[in-house]
Amino acid sequence: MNIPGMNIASPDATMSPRLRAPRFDDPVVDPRLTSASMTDRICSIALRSQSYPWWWLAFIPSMALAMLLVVSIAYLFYAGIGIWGINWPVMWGFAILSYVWWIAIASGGTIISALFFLTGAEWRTSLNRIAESMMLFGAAAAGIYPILHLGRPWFFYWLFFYPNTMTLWAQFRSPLLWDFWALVTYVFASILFWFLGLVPDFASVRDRATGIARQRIYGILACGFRGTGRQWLNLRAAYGVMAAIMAPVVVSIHSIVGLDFAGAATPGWHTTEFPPFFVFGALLSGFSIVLLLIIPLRRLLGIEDMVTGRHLDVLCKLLLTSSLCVSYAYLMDAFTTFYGGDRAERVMFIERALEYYRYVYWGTVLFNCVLPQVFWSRRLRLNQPVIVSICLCVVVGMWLERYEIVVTSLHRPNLPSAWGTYHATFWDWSTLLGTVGMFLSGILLAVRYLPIVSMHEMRTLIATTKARNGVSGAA
Amino acid sequence: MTSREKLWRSLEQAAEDPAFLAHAAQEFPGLAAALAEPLGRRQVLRLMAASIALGGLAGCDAKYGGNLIPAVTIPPNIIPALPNFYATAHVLDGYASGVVVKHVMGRPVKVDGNPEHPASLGAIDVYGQAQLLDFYDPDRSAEIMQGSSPAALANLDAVFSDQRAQLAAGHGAGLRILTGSVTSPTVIAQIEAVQRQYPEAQSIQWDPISRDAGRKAASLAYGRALDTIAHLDKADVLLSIDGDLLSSAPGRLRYARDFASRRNPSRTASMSRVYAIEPTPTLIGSVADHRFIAGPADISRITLALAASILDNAPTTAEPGWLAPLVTDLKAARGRVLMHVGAAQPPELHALALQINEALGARGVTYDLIEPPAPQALLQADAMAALIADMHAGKVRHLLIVDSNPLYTSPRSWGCAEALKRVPFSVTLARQYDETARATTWFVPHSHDWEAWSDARAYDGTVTVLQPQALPLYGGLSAHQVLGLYLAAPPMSTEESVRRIWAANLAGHSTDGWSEALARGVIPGTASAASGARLRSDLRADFRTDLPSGAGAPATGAPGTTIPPITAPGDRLTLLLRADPNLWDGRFANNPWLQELPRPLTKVVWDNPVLIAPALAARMQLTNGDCMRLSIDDASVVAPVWIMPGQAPDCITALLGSGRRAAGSVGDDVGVDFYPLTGLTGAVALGKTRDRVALASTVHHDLLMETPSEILRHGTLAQFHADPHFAATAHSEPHLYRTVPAGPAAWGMSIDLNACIGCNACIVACQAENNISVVGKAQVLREREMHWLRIDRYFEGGVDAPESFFQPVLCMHCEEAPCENVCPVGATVHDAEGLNVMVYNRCVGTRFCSNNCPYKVRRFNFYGYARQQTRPAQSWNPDVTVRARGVMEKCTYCIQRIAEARIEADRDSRPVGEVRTACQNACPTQAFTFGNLADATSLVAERKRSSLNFAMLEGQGTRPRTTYEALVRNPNPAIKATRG
Amino acid sequence: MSALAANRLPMNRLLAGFDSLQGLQHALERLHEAGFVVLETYTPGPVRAEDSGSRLPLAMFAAGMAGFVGCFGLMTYADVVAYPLNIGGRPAFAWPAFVPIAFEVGALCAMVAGFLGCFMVCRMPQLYDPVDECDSFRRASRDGWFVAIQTGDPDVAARARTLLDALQPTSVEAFCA
Repeated sequence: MNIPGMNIASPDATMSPRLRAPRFDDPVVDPRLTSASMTDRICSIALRSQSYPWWWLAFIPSMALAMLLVVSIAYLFYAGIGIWGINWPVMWGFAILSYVWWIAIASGGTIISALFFLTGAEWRTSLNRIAESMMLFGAAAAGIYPILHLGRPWFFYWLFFYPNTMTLWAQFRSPLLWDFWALVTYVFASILFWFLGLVPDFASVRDRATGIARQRIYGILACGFRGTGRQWLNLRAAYGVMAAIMAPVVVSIHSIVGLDFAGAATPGWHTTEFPPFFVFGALLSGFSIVLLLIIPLRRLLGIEDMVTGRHLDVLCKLLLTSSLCVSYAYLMDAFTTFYGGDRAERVMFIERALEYYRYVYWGTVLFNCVLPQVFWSRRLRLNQPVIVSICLCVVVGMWLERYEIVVTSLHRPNLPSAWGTYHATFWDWSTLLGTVGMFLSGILLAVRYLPIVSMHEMRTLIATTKARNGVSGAA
Repeated sequence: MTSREKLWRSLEQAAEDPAFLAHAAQEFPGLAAALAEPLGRRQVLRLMAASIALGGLAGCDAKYGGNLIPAVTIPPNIIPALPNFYATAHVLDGYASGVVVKHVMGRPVKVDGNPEHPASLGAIDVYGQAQLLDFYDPDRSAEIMQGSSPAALANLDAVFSDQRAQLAAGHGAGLRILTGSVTSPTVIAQIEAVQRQYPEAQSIQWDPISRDAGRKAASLAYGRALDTIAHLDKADVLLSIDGDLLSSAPGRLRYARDFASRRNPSRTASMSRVYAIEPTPTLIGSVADHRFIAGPADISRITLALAASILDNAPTTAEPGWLAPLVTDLKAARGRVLMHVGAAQPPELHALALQINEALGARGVTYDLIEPPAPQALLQADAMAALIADMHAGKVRHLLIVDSNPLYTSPRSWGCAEALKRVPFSVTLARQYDETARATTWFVPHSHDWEAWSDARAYDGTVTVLQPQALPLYGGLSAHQVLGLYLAAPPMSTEESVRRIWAANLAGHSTDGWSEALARGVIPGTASAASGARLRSDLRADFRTDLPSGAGAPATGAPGTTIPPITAPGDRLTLLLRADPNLWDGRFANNPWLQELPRPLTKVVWDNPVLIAPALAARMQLTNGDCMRLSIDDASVVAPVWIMPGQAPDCITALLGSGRRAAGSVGDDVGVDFYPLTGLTGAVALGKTRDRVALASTVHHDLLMETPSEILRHGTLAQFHADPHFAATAHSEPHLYRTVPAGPAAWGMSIDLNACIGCNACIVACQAENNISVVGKAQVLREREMHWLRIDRYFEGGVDAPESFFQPVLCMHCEEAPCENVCPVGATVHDAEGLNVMVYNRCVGTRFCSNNCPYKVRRFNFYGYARQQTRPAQSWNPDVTVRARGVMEKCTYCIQRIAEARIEADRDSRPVGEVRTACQNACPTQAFTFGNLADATSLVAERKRSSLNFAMLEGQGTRPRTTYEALVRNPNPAIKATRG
Repeated sequence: MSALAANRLPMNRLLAGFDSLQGLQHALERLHEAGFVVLETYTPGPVRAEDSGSRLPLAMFAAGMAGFVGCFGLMTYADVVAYPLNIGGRPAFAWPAFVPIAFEVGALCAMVAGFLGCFMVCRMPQLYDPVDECDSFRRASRDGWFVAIQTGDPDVAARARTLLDALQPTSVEAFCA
């Protein structure tokens, strides 16, 4: 008899709709899309017997970089953090600034998946899964840095407070400890949030899967979700509250990362604007990375009818908004420096803007404040090459911003006798590139083996839009 | 002292036991080879192993004879964990400065000054402290060498027996004994004995860092050599012409103390005024009230003008503008002035100074003339030149070189190397198998001063007996023993010979008098009396005529050269060759502490760039590290340059003592050897090269020409009189937190900026006391030096003639320490006595504390530096943790000494008493005061009440326990215009 | 249909599928009227739009509060009672500094409680269920809206089939449990 789950093989399932340039008035989801076709198409991506060629082209170099990370860490543990460029005045370098950079990228993903879930933005539905994967692997990349950067990493567990024979506790006044706990919470919460959203979709994949192995693997991942009334009720409820928790958690972690600096008396760090400033940064980098991911993926995976011009338009607008927020933060940074009138602060800022590291500072301003302004134009908001190049610049710009905050602030401390300069070494770069490789490998694996669009939410969305358009719900 | 005598006897036997030396020779066959290689990590570990083994050899070798005390029974007067102190002296170029060596379980671990000694008064300089590493230096040679092959002491004895025969035959014709300056009466007596036995024998004393000019001047002025002793505490006005009173003069520690006693207006009623006229910055110039820059050409012209106006009341020439007021000032302070000329200046200027001082009635008040502690050739350089000439002429058959390295330090133009080839039999007695040792037919390892008996005189003649501090680590013979080899009669024990000489001075040769002299470190009543010599009446006509106005001294101060004829140099560039403030003439080149010690003014380590004036640098478009070719006549040297504010534009300064080729694993090929340029009187030609050298300096930024007031406060005496509190805290900000530690004591420190002369003694003291690692040039270039205590140097004013300031910076031990709040594991916390303590074992190395420290006094172990040190394990201070990789460290106020005081207090159930930190102990000017603030009568409490007291970076609200006394200078109001 | 099941137990249940939520809801009403025992619905999406009636949010809130208070208490105990240290001259009870960690730990507790709680009340993981035997059931995770009813003896089953056939189901299958 006809088994509906079996029609994966039929070509039309994976065939993407006709290609046309994205338009701002595209519907959030193509009207010709039905629950059935959508589900089949997404499942078929996860269930392909062999991968796309482009996937291998992307995965192999990413994995190679990830291996470089392994080597770098091994040598780091052997030789000590002296292999990095850090020195007496600039005690923090790539480790911390890359950590902040990654955490911002991850947070951006959370904001899209959690914050906009609460606001009930429809465009968020099809991006949800990509954003959450980004959050997950971004958090993973960030998560290794706080341990690597320790002088004695094998004692990292001293940051947990637990009863011990020395009756010693952690030092709760330290922003670093807040940060450590924020990170722990954030990573675990992200995983739970991400997995709970995946369960119903794993069920869909399970039911489409052929071959005992796939059926078993996805069956186990689905944990026996069958869409009973009770399951839907509680899962939706739990997911909703989790989103409501994730939103403040993501704001808190980036504020606390900001406090790592604002909590210190160091010139260039000692400012109350850092917590919100860092959240702005998270938004900016988050939106740019999401754009960088969906623009190739919607084409390569043939989901242009789910990730439409509407999405690009919205995301670019948001990117522009957060860029304006960040610009405001830069302005206030300069203003407070001179309004405050502290000699060391002033000297540091002048050095930052005009001296050795000036390219870093002005690069930051160019990439994060100036370039995104092109998105005032609706035409450019839909021009994918432009979007990609701008987003790449923003990603680099955000990294430069952290470099400027961490390094240039530290290289001009209060006492001129302690001034210095910082240069990264090979191992700084290899570790950074390694985490990039790790992030990309993770994303690619997710794209390959996970339902990359949240199908159950899409089904609801399709149903509601059809109802709104007065079309009957018939498949 | 019984244990000492016993120890000595065994040393005697050990040293003379050929079996032992043979044993020592074959104990470490690989060592010499190993030390030749560059210092890698693996290498270092091997060296450590080797040096530990050596320690073991000294400690537990049966060949030492039965009278070594086994470790299981505690030797008398050694209590485990309690230190013993033994007085001795550190001798540099013959002049002794008293020291006290701290022993733990019989191992020397620290050197301090001897308060009883007139040249020290408890202070100690960098060389004296670095002796510790020289003593333990694993590069010290352990084997007698004949040519390039090891030999046993027996062979040496055999050779000497027939040498004695030969020499006796020729009445010692062709026997020469070359030593550095010697003040040791015992050695002198022995040399005389040798000369009695071999009438034709000659003894030559020679030091590359020449003090000939002073002796020559004295003979010019008084007809015979006399030494000048300054009493700076008596001088209201001090005029220093290219002076070295605080840097390299014998007795500099004492001078520094006297100098400082008149510099803090809140303590002394009449503050002294110091003028410095100099071509290149010196310590006294940097702390002077007026520093006038005058090139070599100008100096003699100015001095002549000065002499003219003072000696025969000629009207002072208009130019330079400050001369007239200076003269008035000198005349006004008649009888309480001192004019001092540095050793680098020609004797004529010294003679002028002697004259002017007499004319100003200063003699007997601000200075005294004494008979020189030891008989000296008038001009060492002439004697040395004559010796080498004789060697060339083949007149020298037998040459003994003690404590001298002529192949490295003598002017190349003299051709010492070739001359040595023409000497059939030559012996070098040296600690390292150095340049000269490799060229002589025999090399004998020289025992360290801490391994043999001897004696030496201080700058004022006071005698100290040098007593051995330990068994020889590496075997070796003392100078006395080697000289003994020339005397047919078996030499008596050196202790005996030393005791015999001082029998008269000591209470009837009784052991008590002897023991007391050893314990106190001085032999009473040995200081030379002031000489009554009268100034030669015919002096003035004598040489001022052939000292034409506008004359200068080309290549002046080049050690070992004859005093150059004074000729008009015109506008040519002069090369000034000076002793290295760290390496002296190069003998300390293998000492890691001194190599990594920031030079007082340049802060350069592991290198000796040529100092050039900013103007010259601008003219030739030079930046720090650019390499120049310096050529005089046909000799030339390529060296990097360093732009030195305050350097006279018509001269450049080079430091001798670097570029050693056979110093040891640490000192070889560090820096540039400038001795090839010594002994030349021509002008120096500069040629640009393409090369650049990365120079490691611990000041990592461009020159800063303003001193922010919240960091270093300073003013003039006038300001001080107007408002004594001009520098003190304007207002005390209200504090949010009120939890002040309430312990039995409240430790605090006050640093007197008026006293600090930037001599670096405190840095080495801290390094020695607290087991601070040396990191090497590569790491310093990456800004990872480890000194807990640093001396910040600031310039103010124009780059050509700036005013300079020194400020020692160490952990401030803030009441509200920013570092403590940010440590996630509580590795740095406050204790009940207000110490900001660092818990190394708890530190995970987040380094946030350092980022948050406004004073940047925290140091981080980026690598396992402690494991890379060449010093043997037994040389570390056992009371201080050696820090591991990945751990933050910083000044602890010498908490181990505080703990010691606490324990004593508990034992005697009394309140905790006085504690002195290492830096405080070493400081020649008593700039540091440490103590208990809770005790209102303590000195530190009193100093904190000083009207000049201020806290660095007060705006940070950290409430530091370490505060400063603002710097007050006493410029002559009449010459404010040319201030600085 | 599953032969394996056939020769073991009687087919005592029916699974009916509809192609829309409306169809399912209509069927449910009719089944209730006819007094059938509706066991469970299996749907590709929530049957009711609004998420009400779940106790999970309350549980998560409670867990979060417990985590916050507990963590805050622990820090207070550690700094004030267990091992008071003078940190930068600050008071021992530095409550503002305790807030961030307490918040994070509270949030973590709430998330974990929500996740575990959800699995508990959803009876997950449950890898096998008799309804899996029905081939048509796979559409439940795609576009099929299913209802499972209890049919004890064969004539009840027959009545049920006739009733369901009247509602244009996409499929009606019997299975046993």
